[in-house]
Amino acid sequence: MNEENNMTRKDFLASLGSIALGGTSLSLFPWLTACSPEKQKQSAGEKARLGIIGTGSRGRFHMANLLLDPSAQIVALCDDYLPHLDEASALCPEAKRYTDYRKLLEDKEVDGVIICTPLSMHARMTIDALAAGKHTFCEKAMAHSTEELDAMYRAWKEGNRVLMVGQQRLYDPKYIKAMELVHGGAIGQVVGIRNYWYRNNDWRREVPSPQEERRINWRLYNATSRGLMTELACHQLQNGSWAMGGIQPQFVTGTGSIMYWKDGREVFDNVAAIYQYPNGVHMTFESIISNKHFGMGEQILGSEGTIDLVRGVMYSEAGYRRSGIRQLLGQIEQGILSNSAFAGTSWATEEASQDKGIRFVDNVTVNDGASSVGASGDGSAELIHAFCLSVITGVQPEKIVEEAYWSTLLALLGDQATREGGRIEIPQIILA
Amino acid sequence: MKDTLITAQRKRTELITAGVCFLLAVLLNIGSIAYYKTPFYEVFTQIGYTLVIAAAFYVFWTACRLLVWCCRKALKK
Repeated sequence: MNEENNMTRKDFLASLGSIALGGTSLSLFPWLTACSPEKQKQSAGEKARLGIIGTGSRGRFHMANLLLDPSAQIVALCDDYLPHLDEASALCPEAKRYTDYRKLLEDKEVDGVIICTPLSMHARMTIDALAAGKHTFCEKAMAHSTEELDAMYRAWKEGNRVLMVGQQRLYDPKYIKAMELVHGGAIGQVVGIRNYWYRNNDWRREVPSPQEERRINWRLYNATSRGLMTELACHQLQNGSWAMGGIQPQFVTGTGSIMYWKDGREVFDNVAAIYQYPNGVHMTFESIISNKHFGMGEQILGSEGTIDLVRGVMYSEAGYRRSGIRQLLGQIEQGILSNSAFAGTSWATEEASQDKGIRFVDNVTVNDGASSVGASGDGSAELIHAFCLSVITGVQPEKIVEEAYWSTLLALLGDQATREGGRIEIPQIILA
Repeated sequence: MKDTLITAQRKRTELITAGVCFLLAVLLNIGSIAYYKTPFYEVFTQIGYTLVIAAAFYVFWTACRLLVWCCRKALKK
């Protein structure tokens, strides 16, 4: 497992060199310049001294990656839920323990913080951390409301510290390669973007006592979460902005309900949202957590091909061609059926393409999306490594906050649309 | 039950018939390759379809011959 992670990172870092050679590619991934081979040479032998705020499952997932990273040193841990803090301390016994994040922010030994707390705490903690002069990594989604989102963005813009957000797809080699193909015209004109995330579990964590319910299962309550839109859609909506070259949608229409897990939760257990771009292209997101048959999917549909982002496969519209003899037999069969008196060919089912596609990245790890924590090979290790480099060099990865801002805004407005059941206009904000 | 005798002439006729059916099926495959502009190697890769089509031709031709034989027999009576 360790070796596998190191290999992934090594492959990724090697690929940075080739990406950096192409100016066009670089304009698609400007955030990668902050961890270019030159910057890595510059930070060689140095360590980013980090504090982890929020040591739940996601916090410990990042810790596991940081413990393998030679450019990271975990010096402080903070959580007000002691069982989690104890588990984190067991992973990293030498790190100082805090139960109040403000005390951790006063610690002069901490260069940067990684915030992995419930969504409703992101804005306050990020703003405080930046004000305390700490480089900050905040888990996605950025904020619980659009007001908080704007406040976070302003706090970062007005300061001089690095801010990064847990949008790991931006550092996932297969997504980077896919976007190179999309913008290189490999699938023609982008005509649609399809995202779905299906699970079959109640999304609950075990609670030691009823008093801890809202703290442990914060994802299920409106005061602390925006449900499926901020926890799942936020990752996938970013694909749309990326594929559309930074053009943002104009409208979002949505619907949702609690139809299966009627256990006192407040957030929907199924949602569907449609985003409309100015050029008429639509991006869809659908999530149901009571059926997992189709797992997770992210597809960019083009006039000449389709890219399956999750599996790293590209399909051609011309793609699969049946052999000559099969085409002949098919035509004879169609001729017989079309002459039949009872119906024409319009009733015939239109089959999906049988094209097997081309895998454009080797050694792809396909995740079914069932984990709420993270998965090996999903870009998280690369993202956290990039943050360590930025903490050491002080270089802010370009456009990464803007990407996170938009994916959070789209998720929040999508959530609003699913609650109100109507169409919402998306403000065309220019982030300066 | 009595022994059945298959003459050398009958064997030759059936073998030639099967050969012609196979040849027709191959020609049909080549024709469809040319018509649909598919790769020539389908002559070999689609051999399964060719054999099935050849068998269908053989069955059809045999059914025709049986019909003719039956008609002739009926007329002779």
